[in-house]
Amino acid sequence: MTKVRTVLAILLCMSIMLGVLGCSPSSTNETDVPTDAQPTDAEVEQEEEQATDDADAEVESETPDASGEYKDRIIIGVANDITTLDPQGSNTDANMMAFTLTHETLVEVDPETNEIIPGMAKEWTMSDDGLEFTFAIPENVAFSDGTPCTANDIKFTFDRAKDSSFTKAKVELVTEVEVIDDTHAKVVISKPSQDFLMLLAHQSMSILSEDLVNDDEFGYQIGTGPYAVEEWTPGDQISFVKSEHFYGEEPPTQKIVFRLIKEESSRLIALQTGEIEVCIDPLTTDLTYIEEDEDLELVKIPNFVMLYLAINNEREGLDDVNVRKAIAHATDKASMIEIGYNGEGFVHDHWINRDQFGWYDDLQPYEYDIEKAKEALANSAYEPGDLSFRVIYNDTAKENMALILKEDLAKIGIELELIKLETAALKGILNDAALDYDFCLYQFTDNLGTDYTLRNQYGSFEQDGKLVKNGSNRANMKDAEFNRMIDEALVELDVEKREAMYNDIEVYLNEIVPIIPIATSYINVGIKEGLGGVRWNGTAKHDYRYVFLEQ
Amino acid sequence: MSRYIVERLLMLIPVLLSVAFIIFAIMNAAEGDPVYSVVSADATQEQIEAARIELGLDGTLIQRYFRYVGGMIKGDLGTSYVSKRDVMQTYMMRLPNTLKLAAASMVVALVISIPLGIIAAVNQNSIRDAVSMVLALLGLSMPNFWLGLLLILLFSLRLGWFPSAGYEDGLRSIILPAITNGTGLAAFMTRATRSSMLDVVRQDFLRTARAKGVTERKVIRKHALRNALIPIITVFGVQFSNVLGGSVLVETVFAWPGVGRLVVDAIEQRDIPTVTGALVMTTMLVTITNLLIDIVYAYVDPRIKSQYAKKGFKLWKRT
Repeated sequence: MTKVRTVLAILLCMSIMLGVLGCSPSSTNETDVPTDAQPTDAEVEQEEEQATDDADAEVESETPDASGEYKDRIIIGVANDITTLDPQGSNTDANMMAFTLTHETLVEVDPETNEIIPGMAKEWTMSDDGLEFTFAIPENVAFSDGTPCTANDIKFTFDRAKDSSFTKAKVELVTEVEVIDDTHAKVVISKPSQDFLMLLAHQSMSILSEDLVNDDEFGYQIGTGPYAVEEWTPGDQISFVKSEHFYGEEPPTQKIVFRLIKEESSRLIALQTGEIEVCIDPLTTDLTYIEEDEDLELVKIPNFVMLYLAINNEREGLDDVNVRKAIAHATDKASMIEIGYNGEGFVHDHWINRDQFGWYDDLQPYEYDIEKAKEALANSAYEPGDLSFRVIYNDTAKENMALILKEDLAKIGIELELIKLETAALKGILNDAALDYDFCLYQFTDNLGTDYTLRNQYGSFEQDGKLVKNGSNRANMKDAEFNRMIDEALVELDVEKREAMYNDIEVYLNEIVPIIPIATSYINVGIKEGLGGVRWNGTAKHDYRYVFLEQ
Repeated sequence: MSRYIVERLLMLIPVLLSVAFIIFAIMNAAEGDPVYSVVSADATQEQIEAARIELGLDGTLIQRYFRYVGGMIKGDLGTSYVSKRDVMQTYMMRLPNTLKLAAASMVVALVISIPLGIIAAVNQNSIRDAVSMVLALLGLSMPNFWLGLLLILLFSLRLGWFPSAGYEDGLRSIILPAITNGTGLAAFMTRATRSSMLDVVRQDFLRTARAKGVTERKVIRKHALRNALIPIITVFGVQFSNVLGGSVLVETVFAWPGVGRLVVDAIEQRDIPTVTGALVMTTMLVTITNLLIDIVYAYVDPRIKSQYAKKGFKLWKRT
């Protein structure tokens, strides 16, 4: 009986201890919700500058010391699973981070300056008419199994890209790839494109081996990057080891692991306990734990993602520009950021992504003003109470934002029904030919040049005498004048003229309001003190090739 | 007995066919065309149609169902829309993790519930009974993801005894998820043990045993517990079957790559072959577990064994 009493006492003590632990402030998130008001533009600029400065400082101070000792294995806690190792088979951030380690593109984009820098091609030339690009690759480039990489593989990659729905748009202009010799390939495009090299820098355009892909079902996972896939356990983790055949600078870390920890709190705790060295995307309410921990560092990167309200411009009611203007004035972006992102973001009023070429500083944004919204609606063909719409979205943050929008639209007499869907179901509706939606809270991420953003977001093409929207054009906008403007800007070689043309396009879009841009957030990453060498990226496709952690 | 086992296994066939059809129908009823969750937004109509054929999404629901069943008979559960990997292979990679977690959770549940249930029953209406029932209620009421996070905070973050996520550290990795899962299961089983023991402790044969001078400990352990085991085994079987289906929350909190998370992730991605394949396999496992439980009944209670021997069996009448 004494033993039974002891067991009971231990159990009771444990439950009390757990209860006390559960009630302690350190484990309660609610007390840490930021209560700061929405930052002003000046504050945002300052924050952005600070974040950029921090990132710059990090990169500058991150050159690994040759005499130093570095950890052999670095584990990165990620929120999303790798779905495929075929660079041309998807476009998710998680997959792209893996391809950066295992593969190489001909050219790359410097995440700091947004400029094109050498990738596998150490030099290239462009013909005077802007139609031919000749790339030169080193003689000793090899895939991680030792197979040599030649210009034939470049041609194979471009040909294969035409068949994939994920890469087709990137090689749309390519008419021919000519193999000059083993180390030189000439790519011919149908019309000059100032953004063509940006498209080639995307990880989905990683160079693949013709022999390996043709000989093996999974041959695409072997690239010329500094790392090779060691083991992949879908749903758990993927590990990469240094490639013996990499021709470039040797990476300082022997092994890199992406470990899937979906639950944000568990991911952060794994960082705190030292089980992982990098924690991607911790909860915004948990950031103070990182800031207060002297063994950890918080990296904040302004995102390239634009969160927006997609408006189906062909729906009755929404085809009236004054209705769209009324909705734009009734959208309280600051409150949406406060509620949806816990204040971790800033208002986005433009039609292209942050820092893109052609960003027009003097654009007049649609301020949140219910009276102006009512005026705009009065100019339309509809009365308050006439209009009723449905908004679709896929997560809780967007649901909270949609609730704010519903309340504001009700103030001007527009009824809004909220419909939350699983991501796959949402994508199914958005991509379905029927386009059966009124509004969708969605986001657009890319850093592939202004033309790519504008063309994908708002562009259309002619088919059988009719305009057909481009794939990512969620506004279902079909505007011949807009198409003409972006086509002209794309081939303009004079940089100043081209910038002015994109400024005009921003003004044009501001007048027709095809969507409502809402916000840009921050990408937060928790890292171990002493970790360096990462090129943090505003598209969340961070480059870990030269990551290191001092012992 | 062997005829009974064969017939129960044959019953598995209509069950699996029905499960596969229900999943097909449900996934088909969801909004949007699944092919769009696989191709890029820039896909042309030709690419969409090619993907539809490649994924086996062409044809009517019935045609697709029979195509799937044809593959299932040959052991082919299809290929994942997302990872392009064989579903059976993916499932078999996850199954050992689920089995380990299920077994460890049941051990935790048994270790807690049997003693607590016995103590509560033999001390009915006493303070010990009350404490046992309060603990059972506590285990039942605590959400397991909350308990999991508390255990991580205490034993991983503060004390550093166990890892907080993953399964690479062997036994050390499984302890916290097993306690988290086992606590909830123990609560059910404690109540079942108490209730079953209460029915038995009032029986005359126990009084006779005591009158014959058998010690109290032996009376409880050898006579009472053995006769109370059938309902306990039933609850054990049901709980074990539930855990085999995957403990999604525990798997998520502890980043434990089991079957539950595989199914939930596949549902989110609308990966129909993975959802269907994983659920068909889980159904098969649960049915086999139930059969094993029925066989265990016969070994625990000789009366049931003799029933099988004398009367044969009736499928609709579960003993």
